[in-house]
Order: sequence, then structure tokens, then C-alpha cells
Amino acid sequence: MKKKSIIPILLICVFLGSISVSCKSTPEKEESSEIDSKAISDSLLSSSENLVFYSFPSSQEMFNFIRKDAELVYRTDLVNPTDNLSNYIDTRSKNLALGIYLADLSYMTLFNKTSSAYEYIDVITRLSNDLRISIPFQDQFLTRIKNNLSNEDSLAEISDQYSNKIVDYLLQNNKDKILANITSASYIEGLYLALNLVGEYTENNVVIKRIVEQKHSFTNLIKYAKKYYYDENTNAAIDLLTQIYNVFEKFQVIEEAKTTVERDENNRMVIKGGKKIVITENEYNELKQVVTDVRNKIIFNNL
Amino acid sequence: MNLNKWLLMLEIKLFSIIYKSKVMKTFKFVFVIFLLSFSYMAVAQDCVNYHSENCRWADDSFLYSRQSKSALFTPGMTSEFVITVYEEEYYIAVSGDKKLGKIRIRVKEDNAKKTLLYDNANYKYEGFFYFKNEQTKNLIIEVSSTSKKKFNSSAERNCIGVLIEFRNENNTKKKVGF
Repeated sequence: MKKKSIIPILLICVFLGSISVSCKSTPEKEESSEIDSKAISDSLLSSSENLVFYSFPSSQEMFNFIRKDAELVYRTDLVNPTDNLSNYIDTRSKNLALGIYLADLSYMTLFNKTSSAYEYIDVITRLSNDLRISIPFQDQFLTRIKNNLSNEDSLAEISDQYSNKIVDYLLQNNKDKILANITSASYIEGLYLALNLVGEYTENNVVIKRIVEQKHSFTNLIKYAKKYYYDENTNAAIDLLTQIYNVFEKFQVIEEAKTTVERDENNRMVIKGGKKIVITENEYNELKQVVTDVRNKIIFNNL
Repeated sequence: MNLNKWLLMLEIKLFSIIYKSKVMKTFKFVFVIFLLSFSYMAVAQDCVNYHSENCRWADDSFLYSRQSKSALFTPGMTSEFVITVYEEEYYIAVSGDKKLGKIRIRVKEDNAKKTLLYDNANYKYEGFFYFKNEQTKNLIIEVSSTSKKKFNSSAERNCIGVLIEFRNENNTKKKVGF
């Protein structure tokens, strides 16, 4: 008898358990439905199609790759002066300026030139606050930075962490559209810095080759940003990226060898071959000019 | 008091009634049922950081790539994303919820033919692999759950994460001696 009387109670428990969880999950689901990963799954589930999504290296990764093993000399005059902050009065220009200053900060830390880093972090913090990007433990971060102003290595590491926290915050708080805008500007600034560090065109210049190869990541970034084409600010960022991409599209693409997979002497997988992008001096100069024009439009808020 | 708290209190009350009835044999059963009722939580879980929390990391000579990704999957589902690989050494790890079975990861060329370059099914569904890339290119990363596909209407979704790291030459050079 006891067992029989317990069954309905158990069923009620299960029922209530599922209700309480679904009550809890509903707002979460609504809130996070804009998170990239969930949006991906939801759209896949509804369409049952094999949709493709796009990832791209961060501007830090891009710049790190471009300058790898290259003897580039740091130039202080290339970064966007912090005095320009007053130019950015609307959301669009603030998003883009934040991307520019984040790329500038990465540039400084990659070269371990951190004497002006705090000034840039201050500007980044102000723009982030204006855009309601409130990263956790922001005050602690800023205190750590202040305490390490004389320690180049620590300052570089903390500055990198600070930039990463901003991107993490945007990803975790359904702000993919803002991330698309900020990253677009960071990529443009990264290219501008690289093109100006390398200087004049020379044949077989490894840095130029790497700059040109950014066509691949630009393609992915544009396709990622296009998911948010309905947003006015993102659309403006897509327009800026497209102006540069149109130049990339002119470059000749040669398939010297088919892509193959081999194993080296350490049994490590090696992906060989693939398409190579070839660029002439005129094309290089055109790319440099267009990137500079687009970048200047952003920093002088002349969109 | 909100609805959640009220329901939780009601559940605790019912649970205590069962417990007080001293039907200890059924206690374990009740506990299991309770756990099962909460298993629905998996449906609402957030996957954003799944890859960084669950995938196996490479050693310190590799750096995290922001191309890493996590997503919700249903059993039997396949999804793809495109990444850019520079002329560097890469490490890719995959991990997924047990309910999704073994996780298959395939690397394909980003062209019309989508030529297959790597398939972990050929390596007993190993959860990580390294490769060196000699020419910058885009690659398609295809991830599949090998568990049996359920009804389309099934709401059961679980996380899969793909962690991508690249070799940091500076770290490699620094790592000598103690």
C-alpha cells in the first residue's frame, strides 16, 4: 500500500522538477539565443541543412604571424593618438575606435613598447564604459596595470589579458554584432600597421607575402560580419572591409601544387601545397593606399 | 517569492514527506528519479566556454586561438565551420558530452570538392591531433556526433567544443633547461 501511495508523489516530484527547470531555462534560452554557438545550433536544427560558419584569427594572432621572424622596427607615429578620442561621439565611431585602439595596444605589447600602454588602456576603458562593456574585475585589472607600469613583461601580459577579457565579455554576453564591428576595425588597423612597417615593396618579401595572405581571414571575417548585416553599424563595418577585400580580389591566385597530407620524419602530419597569392608592386601600393584611406576614415570619424 | 523558489520548496516538502514515511528501500529510487528530473538542465546549458573547459590542452609552447568554438549538438548531428590556418604548427582538440557518443572530426579543403585531409575515425576517434601547415589557407572543420539520431523534435542538445591552438615560436625558443 505504501509503495502504491508513493508512486503518485514521485510522479508529482518528476513533473515539478521538469517544470522548475524549464521555468529556469526559458529566460536563459531567450537571453542566450543570440550567442553565436546557440544561434548556430538552433538554425541548424530548424533547417536540418549543413550550414557553414566562419572563424577567423584574432587581430593579435594575425599581427603575431605577420611579424614572425621578420626584422620590423617599431614606429611610434603609426598608432592612433589618444587625443583623437574626442572625435568619437556616436556608437558606430566608438565601436570602431575601440577596435583601432585594441590593435594599437597589441602592437605595442608585441614589440614590448609599453611606455604609452597605460594611456591606451585608459582610452580603451573609457570607450568600453561608453559602450557598456563592463568586464569582470575591471578595477582590479587597472590596478594591476598601474602597479606594473615599470615592468614591461608584466604590463604586456596584463594588457593582452585585458584585451582578451573584452572579447570574452562580448562573446559571453550576446554582443556578437559589436564584436564584428570592433574586430573589423582591429583587422584594418593591423593591416595598416603591417603595411607601414614593411615600407616599400620588394619582391619575395616574406612580410608582404603574409600581409597578402590575410585575404583568407578577411574572407571569413566578412562572412561572419554579414550574419549581422541588418545592423546599421555592422553594415558600415562590412562596407569598410569590402573596400579592402575588393583589392584583395584583384590579386592573382596560383595553384602551384595540390594540397596533400604527408607525414614528416617525426610522423607529424604536414599539410602541403595549396593556392598561392601573387602580388605586383602596383597592387601592393593600391592595397596600402586603400587600407590607409579606410583607416583614416575611421580615426577621423569621417565615414 | 518567484515561481522557481516556490516549486523548489514544494519539491523539498514532498521529498521530506517521502523520507519521513521511512520507506528507505525506495529512497535510492526516489533520488535517481530526482536526478533524472534535473537532467533536463543539460538542455539549457551554456556552451560558450565548453572547449576551454573540456578539451585537452597542448603544452605551453602552443597558444590559444580565438578560432576555437563550442556549440550545441543533437545526437547524430553534423556541423561545419571554416578556419584560417597560417604557415604554422597547429593543435586541434575536440570534446563532447557523453550523450553524443564518440565525436568525429574531419578536416577538409575549403574548395568545391571539399577534399578530405584528416578524419579521426581512422585513428580510433582520438580527441586531438597536431599538424603543420605549409601554405596559408582556409580549412573546413567538420564535427559530428556518432550517437544515433533521434526524432527531429527531440529537444536533447549537448555541447561539443573544438579547441584550436598554434605553436608560439617565441615560447618554443624560450623553453630551454629548467
